[in-house]
Amino acid sequence: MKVTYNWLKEFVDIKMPAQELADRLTMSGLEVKSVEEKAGDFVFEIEITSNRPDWLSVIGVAREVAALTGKKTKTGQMKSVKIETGCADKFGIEIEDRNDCPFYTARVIRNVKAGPSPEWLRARLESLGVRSVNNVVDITNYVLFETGEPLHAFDLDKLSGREIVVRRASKGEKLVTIDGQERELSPDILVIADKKKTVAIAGVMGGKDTEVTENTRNVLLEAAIFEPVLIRRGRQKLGMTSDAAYRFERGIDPAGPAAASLRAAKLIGELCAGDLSCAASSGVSRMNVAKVCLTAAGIKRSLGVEIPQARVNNILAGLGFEIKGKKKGCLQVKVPSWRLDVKEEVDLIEEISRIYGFENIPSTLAKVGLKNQETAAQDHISQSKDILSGLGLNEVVTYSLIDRKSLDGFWEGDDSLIAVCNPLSIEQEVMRPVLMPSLVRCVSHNLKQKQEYVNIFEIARVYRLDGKRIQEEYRLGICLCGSKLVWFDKGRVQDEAGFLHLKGAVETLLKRLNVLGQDLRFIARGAYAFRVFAGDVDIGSLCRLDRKRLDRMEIKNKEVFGAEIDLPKVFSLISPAKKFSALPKFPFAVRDISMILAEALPAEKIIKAILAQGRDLIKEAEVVDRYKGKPIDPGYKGLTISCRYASDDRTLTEAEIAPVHEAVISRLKEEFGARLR
Amino acid sequence: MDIDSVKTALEQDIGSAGSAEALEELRLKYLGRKGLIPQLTSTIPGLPVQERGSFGKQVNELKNRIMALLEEKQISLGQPAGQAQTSGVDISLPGICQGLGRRHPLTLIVTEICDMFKKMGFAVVEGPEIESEYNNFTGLNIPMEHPSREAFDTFYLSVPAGSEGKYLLRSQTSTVQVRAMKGSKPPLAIIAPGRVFRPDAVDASHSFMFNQIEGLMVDEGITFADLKGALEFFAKGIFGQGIKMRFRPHFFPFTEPSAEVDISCIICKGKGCSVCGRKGWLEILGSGMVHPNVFKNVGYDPDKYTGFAFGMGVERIAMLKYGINDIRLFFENDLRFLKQF
Repeated sequence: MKVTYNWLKEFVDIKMPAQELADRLTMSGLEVKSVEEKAGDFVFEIEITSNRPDWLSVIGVAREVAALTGKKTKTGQMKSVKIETGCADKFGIEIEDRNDCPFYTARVIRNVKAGPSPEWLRARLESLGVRSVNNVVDITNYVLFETGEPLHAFDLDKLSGREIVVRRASKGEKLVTIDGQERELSPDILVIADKKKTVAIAGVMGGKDTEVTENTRNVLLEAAIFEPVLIRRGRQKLGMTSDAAYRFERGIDPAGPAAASLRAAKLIGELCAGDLSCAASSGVSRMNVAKVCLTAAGIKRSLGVEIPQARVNNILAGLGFEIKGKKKGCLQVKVPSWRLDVKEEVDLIEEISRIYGFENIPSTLAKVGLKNQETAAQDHISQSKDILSGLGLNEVVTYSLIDRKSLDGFWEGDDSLIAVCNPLSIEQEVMRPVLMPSLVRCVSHNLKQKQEYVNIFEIARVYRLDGKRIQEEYRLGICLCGSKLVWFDKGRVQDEAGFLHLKGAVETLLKRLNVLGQDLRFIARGAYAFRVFAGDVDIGSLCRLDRKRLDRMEIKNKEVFGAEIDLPKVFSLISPAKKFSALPKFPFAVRDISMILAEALPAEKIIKAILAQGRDLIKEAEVVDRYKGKPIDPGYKGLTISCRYASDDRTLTEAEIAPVHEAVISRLKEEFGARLR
Repeated sequence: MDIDSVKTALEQDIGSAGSAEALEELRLKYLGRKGLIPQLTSTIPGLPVQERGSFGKQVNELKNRIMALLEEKQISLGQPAGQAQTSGVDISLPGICQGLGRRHPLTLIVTEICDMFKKMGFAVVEGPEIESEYNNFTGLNIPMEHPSREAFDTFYLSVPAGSEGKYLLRSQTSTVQVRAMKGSKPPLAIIAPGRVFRPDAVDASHSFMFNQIEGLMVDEGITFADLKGALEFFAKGIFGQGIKMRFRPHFFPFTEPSAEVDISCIICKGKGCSVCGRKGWLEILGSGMVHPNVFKNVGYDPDKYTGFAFGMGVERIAMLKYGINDIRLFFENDLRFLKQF
C-alpha cells in the first residue's frame, strides 16, 4: 500500500525527515519497502500485514505515526458522524440479508459538475499509481485511500426507481463492470441492484452502465459494510481484485462509512459544485464495544520485562485505546472502533511491545528440562550421509513432485499414486513413489555438462497410497554412471561404474550402520536387476537401466546403475550394541589358491565351500585376483582366493595346515571342477 | 675386505667429502646395489652357521652408522635431510587419495543450524510432508476463510479427506509444532527441519519446494526475552559474532507478539548493497510468542504455559551464507556446484 509524506502531514505533525519516519514505521511493524521522491513529496510503499486493515489508509498510518511520536492526530471531522435523515430526496434501501450487508448508506448529491479533477487531486492519485478518471470518481478514490473506507458513486439518473437493493445475484446473471469485462454472476456473489437490474458487484466493482461520466448530473454515493468472507469468495470466483475488495475482505471500521460518505460529499460540494442533499441508511453499523482486561503480570509473563504503568497507559492512549478504570487488578481497556483485530489481552500486549520497542526487551537464555530422546531416524540418516559421502558419492536434493510419464518403467500401480490437485505444471503432477527417475534425470543433466563420472545419492521420502493409508517413507537412492580415473603410484586406470560398485556402497553402508544379521544377499531379477536381502528382509534393489528408459532421459552411449534402499527397514535392523572381539594372540598363515573355473560359478559358492572345508582353521577366505581372457579359454575364468589359517590357542604348524589345505583343493576340484593354475 | 677396514675407509671418506655430488658417490660406494655393504652381506651364507648371527648384526650396525653419517654430513653441507632419497619425485604432482563425496549444501546448513540449537537443549524431530488441513492451518490459528491464508498457497492432494480435513503438502514446518504439542506435555524444546511446498512459479528466488526449520520452546515462564536470547545465540553462531540483529514487529497467525528477525547485511556490513536492497539488513526468519489459541488447540493451558516459536527458510540462509544467487542451483545438482561445498 502507498501513502505519501505530505498527505500524512495533513493528519499529524511530523518533524522528522521522510527516511527517518520510514525507519520508525518499519520498526513498529509497518514495513516500508521503499521511499520514492516524487514531485516534492515522498511516496512510501508499505507492506501491511493482513491483521491490520485499519492501516490501509493515510489516516490509519497517521494514527500510528502519532502513537510513535507522542502527537495527536488531526482527524476531528472523521469522528463518529450521524447520517442525517428526514429529507424529501430520500432513497429507499432494501437489504435482503443483514448478514451479507450489515450496514448501507446511500447519499444523493444533485447538480454536480462532473469534469476533470483539479491538479492537486490528480497529482496525489497519480503518486499512488491511480489513474485520474473525473472529479467525482477521483474523490471517491481519494477518500478510499485517505480513510480506508471504499465508496462507490452511481449516476443517479441511470438507476431505475428510487430504491437500492442489496441481494445475491441470480444464477447466470451477467454484468459488464467498469473495466469493460462481462462477468457471469451466481448466487454466491453479492450484488447491488436497482428496481430492474444489477448495477454493481458489491464491494468489488461497479457496473459500466451506471458509472459516473462527464455527463453525470446527479450522483448516488454508496458507503457500506459487507461481509468479508463473502466478498473474498466472490472476487476470487470472478478472478478479480480491487482496492475496495482488498479492504472489505480484511474488515472495515464500523464508524467508517458514515464519516467517509460525508467527507466525500463535502469534497464533491467543493470541487464539483454538488448540492449536498440528504442520505439514507439501513442496517446497524455494529461498533466494537468490548473491553479487554490487561494486567501487569500478563505483560511481564509474555515479554519478560516490566513496563511501568504510566508508559503502558501512554502507549495505549496514543493508539486510541481508552482506559476505563481498574477491576480486580485488571485494567479495563476500551478498544477503538477501527481495531477489529483486538479481542484479548495478548492483542494488547502485542501493541504495547511494538511501541515500547522490541529492542528495549532484554535477551535471556531459557533452559528447559531435557528429555531423553530415542535415536531418531534423523541421526541414522545423518550417519548414512557421512558414510556415503565417505565412499565418494555426492549428495543431491531433487523435487518430491514429478510428472507421471517419468515413472514409466519405474513404477507400476497407478492406483497407489498420490496426485496433486492443483499443480502449476506437469512436472508437479504426482508425489514420487520412487527416487530413481529424479536421480537419472540428474545424471542426464550432469552428462550434458560433460561430466565423465556421475556418482550421486539422495535420501528423501517417497509417497504412496496403501488402500486408504498414506505411506511416506525415507528412501536411499544411488546412481552411478561413467568411469572415474583411479591413480596409483605407477599410473592410473579407468574404473567403470557397475553393479559391484553399487553392491560395495550398499554393503559398506549396512556394515557401518551396524546392521545385524548382515548376511546380505543379491537375488537376480532378470538380466537388469537384483533384489537385496538383509537376512530375510527385502530391503531394496539394484538395477541397470534399460535403453528405453535411458533414451527417454536423453542418455546416450552410457550405462547407468541405480540402487534404491528402503531405509526404515534398514534402520530397524540396526543393532545399538557393538561387541569387541579379542585380537588374535597367535600369528596367521596365508595360502593362496589360484584356479580356473567355469565363468558362471559365483565366487561366493567357492568361498563358502572353502570355509566349510577349512572348518576351524580357515578364519577368512577372500578373492584377491580375478581374470578373464587369454590364455584362459572362453567360458572360464581365473580366480585367486587367499585363505587365512589361524588358531585362537596356538601357532599353526605346516604339518597342521598342509592336510587341510590339500582337502580344500580336492573339494574345489571335485565339487566345481576347478583346475589349479 | 672386513668390517673394520670398511669402517676405517668410511671415516676418511666422510671427512673428505665436500659436496653433494661427492656425498652421493659415497652413498653409492657403500649402500649402492653393488656397494660395500651388500658385498659384506653377500658373504654371510659362506660363513659358519654360528658366526652368521653376530656378523650380520655387525653389518647392520655399520649400515646404520653409514646412513647416519651421510645424513649428518648432508645437513652440514646445507642440504635438507631426505632430499637425496626423494630425488626423482615431483612433489608438485597431485596427491593420490580416495576422492571423498560431498554432502549437499542444504544438508550442511541444516546440520549446522540444528547443532546450534542442540547446544541449547533442543531436540530434533520430524513430521510428515503430507499433512491435514487442520495441522497446516486451523490448528495454527489460521482461519479457513481469511486473507492471511493467502500467504500460504498450498498444493492439495488427491487423497480422500480425513477427520482433520483435506490432505495437502505442508506449506510450512510449523505443522510439526501442532504434532509435537499434541504428542507430549511441556516442557518442550524442539527443532524440526524438513521440506515444504507452495505453488510458486519457479525463478531465481522462488521454488515450489524448499526447506524450512521450525523451532519451538514451551514451558512455564518462557518469555519474549528468551526468544531474543535463543535467536541471537543461533544467528551469531551461524553468521559470526560481529553481526547486528533487529527484531521487527510483524504478524503471523500462530504467534503474538510476532517478530521478523533481520541481521546486518553480511556482504556490506550494513552499509547497503544489492544483496540487501540498499537497506543494510537481511531478513532471516519469522518468530514470536505462541498464540494462546494454538495452545488451546493442542490442549495446553495458556494460563500456565508460554512459549516461543520460529521458522526459517534453509535455502535463504544457505544463499546468504555461501553467496548463491539462484535457488534453482540447489535442485539442479550440477556436480560442479555440489563439489564446491
